Amino acid sequence: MKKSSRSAAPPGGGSADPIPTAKPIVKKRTGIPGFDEITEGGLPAVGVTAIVGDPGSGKTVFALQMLVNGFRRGEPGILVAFEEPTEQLRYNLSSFDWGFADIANDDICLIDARLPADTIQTGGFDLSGLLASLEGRIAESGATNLVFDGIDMLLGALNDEALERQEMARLGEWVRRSGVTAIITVKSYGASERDEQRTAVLQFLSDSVVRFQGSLTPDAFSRTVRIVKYRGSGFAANPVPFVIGESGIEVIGFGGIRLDYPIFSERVSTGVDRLDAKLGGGYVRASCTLVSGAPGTSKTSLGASFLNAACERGSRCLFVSFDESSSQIVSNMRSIGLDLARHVESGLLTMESFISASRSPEEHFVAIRKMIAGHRPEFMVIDPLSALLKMQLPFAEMIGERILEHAKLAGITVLCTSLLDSVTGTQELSASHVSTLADTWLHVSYVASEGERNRALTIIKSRGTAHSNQVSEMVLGPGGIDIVDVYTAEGEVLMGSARHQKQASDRRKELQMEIAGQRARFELDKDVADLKSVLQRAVQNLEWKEREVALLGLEEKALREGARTDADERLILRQD
Amino acid sequence: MTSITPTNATQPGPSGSRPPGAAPKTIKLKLYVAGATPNSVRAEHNLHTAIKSIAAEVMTFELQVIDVFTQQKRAILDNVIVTPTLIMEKGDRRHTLVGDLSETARLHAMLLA
Repeated sequence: MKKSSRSAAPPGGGSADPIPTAKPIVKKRTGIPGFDEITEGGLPAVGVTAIVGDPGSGKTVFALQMLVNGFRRGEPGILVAFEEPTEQLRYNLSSFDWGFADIANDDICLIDARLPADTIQTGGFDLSGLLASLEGRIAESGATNLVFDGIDMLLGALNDEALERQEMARLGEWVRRSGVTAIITVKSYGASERDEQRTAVLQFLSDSVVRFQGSLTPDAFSRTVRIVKYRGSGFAANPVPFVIGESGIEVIGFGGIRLDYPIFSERVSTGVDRLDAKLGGGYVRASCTLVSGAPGTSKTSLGASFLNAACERGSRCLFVSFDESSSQIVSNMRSIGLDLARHVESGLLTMESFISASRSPEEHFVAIRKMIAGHRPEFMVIDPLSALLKMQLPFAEMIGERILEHAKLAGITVLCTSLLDSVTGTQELSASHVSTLADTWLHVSYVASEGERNRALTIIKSRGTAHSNQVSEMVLGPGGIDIVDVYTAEGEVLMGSARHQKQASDRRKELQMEIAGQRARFELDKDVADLKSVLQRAVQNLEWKEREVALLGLEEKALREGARTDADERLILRQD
Repeated sequence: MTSITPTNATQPGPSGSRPPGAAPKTIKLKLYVAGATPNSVRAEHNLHTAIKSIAAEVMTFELQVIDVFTQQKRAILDNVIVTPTLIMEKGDRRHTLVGDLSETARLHAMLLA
């Protein structure tokens, strides 16, 4: 297919096949963060890279950034501007922190290649004039990086697909002959047939094709870059998010290849004594803890307690909050006895709050990373991380993971909260995704019964820690958070006033039973005593009766002996 | 890519009798070409044809044909982006035409305007 297309497009002279041979392609680093990763080394060192994208998608910024980075390595560059006046480009350049003002015009030369406004076109033309004058400039400055910015403006004037293709081929052939690295930027409005054709032409005439895309959601604008084609090289083919900040383009690569996080076994306090006990001493250092729960379940308080304890140990902390101001948090935490303002003043604690919808998750990631680099915290809270996920932008989850991953690699102990929206239930899924990265997952919920709601804390998982699976009750007071073991009765878990009530009533019952028991014992003792006394009297009676019997026996004996004596006496008397 | 095109050639208008008292206007023309590439050859041919068709009494022409391959500096100075480019100077006014000048009627009108 490629071959037939090529024969239909005669290159601007010469029969040399512009397709490079099979030897490994030589690449040139762009120096644009993340981009050299996804292209496995940069752009083709000799050849044409087409940057295709909607207006405002960052094509020109990319090209300018590549030129400036090239210049810093000692490679002069030329930008041919077909669309914007060079003053406009100069202005754009000065808005980035590249120090463009210090670069001499010869080192990065901007050429205005817009046709004069009153130009009249009669018939076909070609780029030979431009290429010839470029050759002259290259000979003078030794430029090796070239950008043709908005070339579709000029080629579009040809109003003929075949001619356009011919000029593209001429350009490509010239680039390879000159041995330079060339970028052409081409607008694409995506939909029109003309754009489709132009893109198709670019696909086979360029050595690599990069597509910049922006997706607008009701909340934010998310930019992506995708390598569509890279002749002779492997590349990551999926769309990758990028941001444009004051340092220009930053591609948020997928990172995540390295999983060699530093492993710690040291425990750090959660800021809640009894929670420390339940988790075997606290959170593991450099681990990530997810606290999920409905609004108002004190997720923020758990985070604040954690950082407060860390600050009191003299550690540096970062508190990133979304959609709630730092001063609001400071004032809320005062009610549970946490004085965060003191730590902010001492410089140990940095608090930053953002409106989640103001930027794409990628931009938030870059901002958080910058704060980490600036403040170098040991402990961090992101409250809530789910604010990034709720935007439903394509890379929200990936960015959530990247933030945690970045913190882990930096050895930071993180606590992030996740809002579970009980109305839709959709966040359950997102939270569970982040939860795979979390080492510890605490869930805080409300348990409603008998007209009140109580906070219940469950340790859903805690890697490498023996932990109780029992629900605990979380009690907030002016002295901070406390964890109370719940009361179980007849298979039911009781909390709050129900727990109090049940405990009191059980105490009363116990007392009553004790009294009843004492009474029964008393009765019994009395019976025993009665019986004993009956027994005693009977024994006494018996004794008496026996003595009576004995006396009676003596009497009878005496009587019998008396009778015998009488008879003997009478006999004696009679014998006498 | 080599060419045998004339450079810096001056092409006077066709000679003939001038009406007395009416000095013909002179127009300076610079045609930038890229060697013997088809567009350039066509443009040069079309321009010569147009010039010849205009009587010298009406207008005279000073034509320079400049090859961008050999005279890159001049192309840069005149800000020539594409070839062929015809730059027409009538006093203070300057017109630029790009393309092979194949729309002869239009070219004619431009020269006489």
